[in-house]
Amino acid sequence: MLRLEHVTKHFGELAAVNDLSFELEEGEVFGIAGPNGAGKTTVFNLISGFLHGSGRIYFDGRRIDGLQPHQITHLGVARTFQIPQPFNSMTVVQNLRIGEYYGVAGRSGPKKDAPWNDLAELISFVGLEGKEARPVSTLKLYDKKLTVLASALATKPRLIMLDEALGGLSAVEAEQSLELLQRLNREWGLTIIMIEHLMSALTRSCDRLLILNNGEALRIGEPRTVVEDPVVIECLVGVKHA
Amino acid sequence: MSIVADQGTTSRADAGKPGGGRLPGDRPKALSLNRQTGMTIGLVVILALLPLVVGDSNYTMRLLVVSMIWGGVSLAWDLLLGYAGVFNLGQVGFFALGAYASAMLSENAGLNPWWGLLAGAAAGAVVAVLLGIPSLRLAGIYVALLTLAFYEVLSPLLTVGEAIGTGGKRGISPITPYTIGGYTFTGSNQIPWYYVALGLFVVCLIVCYFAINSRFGASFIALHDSESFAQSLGISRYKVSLMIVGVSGLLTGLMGAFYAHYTAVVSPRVLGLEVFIYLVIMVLLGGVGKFPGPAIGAFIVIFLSDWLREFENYRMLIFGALVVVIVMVAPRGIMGAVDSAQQFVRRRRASPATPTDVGRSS
Repeated sequence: MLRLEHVTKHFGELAAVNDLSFELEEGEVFGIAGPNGAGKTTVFNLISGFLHGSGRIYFDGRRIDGLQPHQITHLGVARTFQIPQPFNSMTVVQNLRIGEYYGVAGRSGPKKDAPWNDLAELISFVGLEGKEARPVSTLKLYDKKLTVLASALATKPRLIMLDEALGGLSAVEAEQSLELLQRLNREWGLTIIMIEHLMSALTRSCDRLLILNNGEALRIGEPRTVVEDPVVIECLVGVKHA
Repeated sequence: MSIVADQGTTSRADAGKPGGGRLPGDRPKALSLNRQTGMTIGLVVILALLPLVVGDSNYTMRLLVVSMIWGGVSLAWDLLLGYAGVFNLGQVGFFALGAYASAMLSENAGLNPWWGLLAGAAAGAVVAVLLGIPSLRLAGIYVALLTLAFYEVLSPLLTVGEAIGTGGKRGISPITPYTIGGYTFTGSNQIPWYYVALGLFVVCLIVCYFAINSRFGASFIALHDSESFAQSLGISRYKVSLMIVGVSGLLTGLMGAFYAHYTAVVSPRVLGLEVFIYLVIMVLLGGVGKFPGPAIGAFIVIFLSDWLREFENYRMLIFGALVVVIVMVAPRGIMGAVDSAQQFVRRRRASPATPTDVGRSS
C-alpha cells in the first residue's frame, strides 16, 4: 500500500533520514520507534508532504513524493501531530467539519465510504460525545488529541499516521487511546503507522516494528523479535523507560 | 490568538453538509443573531440615518465619507492580517491602483466614472493576485517583505509613468465626478456622495462578513490557527491565500476608485507613509481579527485626526504614541476590550465557572 524506496533527507550536513526503504501492507499496524532525533517525525513529514527529500515514495502504486500535504490527504493518507495544535478559535465539531469537508473535496484518490455515517457517529466512536460544542482551547490534552485524531479520521483516510498518540497521557488515557487505535484497525480496517516511545504499546498492537537510529533502519520485523535484539536494546536503553 | 468568543456567538467552521445533520457546536447559520451581526447591522442603520442629524454640516459629512472609505479598506486589510494571517504590507498600493485605474480611464479614455468602480476593483484584485502568485508560496515574513517592496516601488513607478497618463508627480486632477440622470455630484452637496460611499462600505461589510462566516472563511481561519494541521486536513494553503488576497484587493481597489472621484485628485502622495500609518492604527485600534472592529477604528481615527489638526506636525507624533499605548494596553483593540469586559461580567455572574466558560483561551 505504501512503499518507501531509498528515502533520504538532509538538514544541512545532517542526514535526518538516510536511505530508508520499507513497504506497508494494507490493514497492517506498523510501529516506528527509536531514540530522540532518530528521524521518526521526519519520516512522517516526508510521507505526508510537509518535507521533500530524495528517493521515492509510493502510495497505491502512485508516486507521492513531491506532492503537497493537502494532495496527499486527498489520496487517503491522514496524520496527527506530536503536539496537537487544533483550531483553537473553533469548537470541537468545527474542527472535525474542516476535515470532513476539505479532506474529501477535490479528492483525487478512490473515494472510500467511511465506516461512520455522520460526524455524530465518529464523535461517539472516539469518545468526544458531550464535548461537541466545547471551544477546543478549553480542552485538556487528551481531548485535544482526540479532536485532532477525529478530524484526521473525518478526511476518510485509508492510512493514518499517528505521531506519539499516547505521549503525555495518563496511564488510563493511554490505555483508552491504544484500544481506540486497535478498534480503528480491526473494526474499520484502517492501516496504521504509529510512532511511539512506549515499547509495550508497540509490541502489543503492531504487526511489525521499525527501529530507527540516526535516520537509518536499525531493525525491521516482528515486534517481539525486534525488541529482544541486543542491538536494539543497546540503542534504546534509556529511551524506552523515558 | 483566539478569534472566537463562545459557541453560538462567533464561530467558523462549516455548518455541515447536506444530510449530515447539524450538531451542537456547529457554526451558527449565517446571519444568526449574535454580537458580530448585531454590530454590523447597527453600524449600517446608524450610518444610514446619520445624515438626518448631521446632514447640514458638509464638514462632518465629509469626515464620515472619508471614514467609510477607509473603513472598507481596513476591513479588507484585516481579512488578510487578522483572519488569514497573510502579512500584506502593500494594501495602500491596491488602493492607489484602484484610484489610478478609475481616474485614468475616466480622464484619459473618457469612460463613465461609474464604470471606474468596476475597473478599480478589477485592478486591485488582479494586482493582488499577481503579487500573491510568487509571494504566497513563501513564508510569512517574505510575504511582508515582497509586498512592502511592491508598495515602495509603486510611488516612483507612478511618478515616471507620465507617458501612460499617470500625471507624474502631480498626479491626476481634477477628476470627473459621478452623475446620476442629469445630476452631477458636487462638493457642496455631500448627501449623494455619502450614500454612494455607504453603499460601497456596505459591500465591504457584506463581503467580509460572508468571507469570515462561511466554509471558505473556515478554511483560512483554520490555516491561521494551525497551518500544518489545516494542510493535513486537505486545505491548500496556496489556493486559499490567493483567493482571500484577491477578495481583499478587490474591495480595496473599489474603495480607491471611489476615493479618486470623491477627492477629485489622485497623486503618489496617497502612497505616503502617513496614510499607511493611519491604516495600521485603524486596524489596531478596532481590533485585529475582530470584525467589524477595524471599520469602527477607521471612524475613530478619522475624527480624532481631525480634532488633532491644530497640532499640525505633532499630530503624527500623537498617533505614534497612540499605537504604542494600544499595543500595550489593549493589544486586541476596542473589540478585544469589549470581549474582555463581556467575559468579566459573565464570569462574575456565572461563578462557579461553568465548563463552557471561555475566555481563558487567549
